[in-house]
Amino acid sequence: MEFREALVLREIEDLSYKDIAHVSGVPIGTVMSRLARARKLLRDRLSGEVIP
Amino acid sequence: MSCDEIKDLLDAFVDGELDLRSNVAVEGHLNECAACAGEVEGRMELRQAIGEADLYFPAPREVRQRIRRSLRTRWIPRVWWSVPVAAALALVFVLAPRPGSTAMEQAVVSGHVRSLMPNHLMDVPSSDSHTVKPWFNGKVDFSPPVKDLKADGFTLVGGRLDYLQDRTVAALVYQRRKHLINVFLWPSSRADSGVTAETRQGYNLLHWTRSGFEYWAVSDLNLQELGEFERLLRE
Repeated sequence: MEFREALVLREIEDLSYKDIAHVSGVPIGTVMSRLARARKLLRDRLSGEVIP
Repeated sequence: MSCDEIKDLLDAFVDGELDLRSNVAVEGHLNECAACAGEVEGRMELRQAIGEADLYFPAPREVRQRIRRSLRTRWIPRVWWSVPVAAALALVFVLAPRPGSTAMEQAVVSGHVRSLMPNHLMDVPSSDSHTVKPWFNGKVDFSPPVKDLKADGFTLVGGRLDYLQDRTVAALVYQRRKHLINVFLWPSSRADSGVTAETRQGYNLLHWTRSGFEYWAVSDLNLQELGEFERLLRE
């Protein structure tokens, strides 16, 4: 859930890390690691769709 | 730096959140390392896929109304900042100013952007301050000080009326090379103030009060030259 939140705020709302941290109530470092994890999860899932 | 160290920075790199030094380090590494360059490319593809997926949709009317109602009475508690309402919150973000901003700054930038649209820049196109100044007679209830700074590389190109935060203001347009500068001004009872600088949506803003006028200068010109412009106007 928090991964999705970070990714939505970053990619769809185009917020800065600082603003995401403010909205989510977590430190910027956490924002960074959540985004990295979120991207990896999403990429794995998407590539799973393309190559069954 | 090693690949492992670089990999930790790649997300911040594609998000433009790295400091200058790390940014240069990552760029240098990407030129030499195909694996890391591929990682960056993957992230860019993902971004593109998200951008094209049409994921942004307005919240249903009832949700929107519920949020508006709750905003009227109290600020949303932090627990509400969760994903099920993210789509609805999208709306709140559009309506509410970002942290650290003021409505006036937003209005100044909007006025500037609006003026750059075709045929919106000037009502009185003239580089002659003796033409621009009298033009405001009868249009606003004050006579704005108009200065020609052509000799210093800031050419007066015209003036127009604009509307900021519920009042009519004078807008003077100057040009520095290809950059246009909008100066919004109106009478103010505030005491003279120093200059404050802000950057918003890539535009630089300067704000000051002088001799009974409040000034806002906005441009895509760099802050240093804009500061020079402000000093010349002040003299």
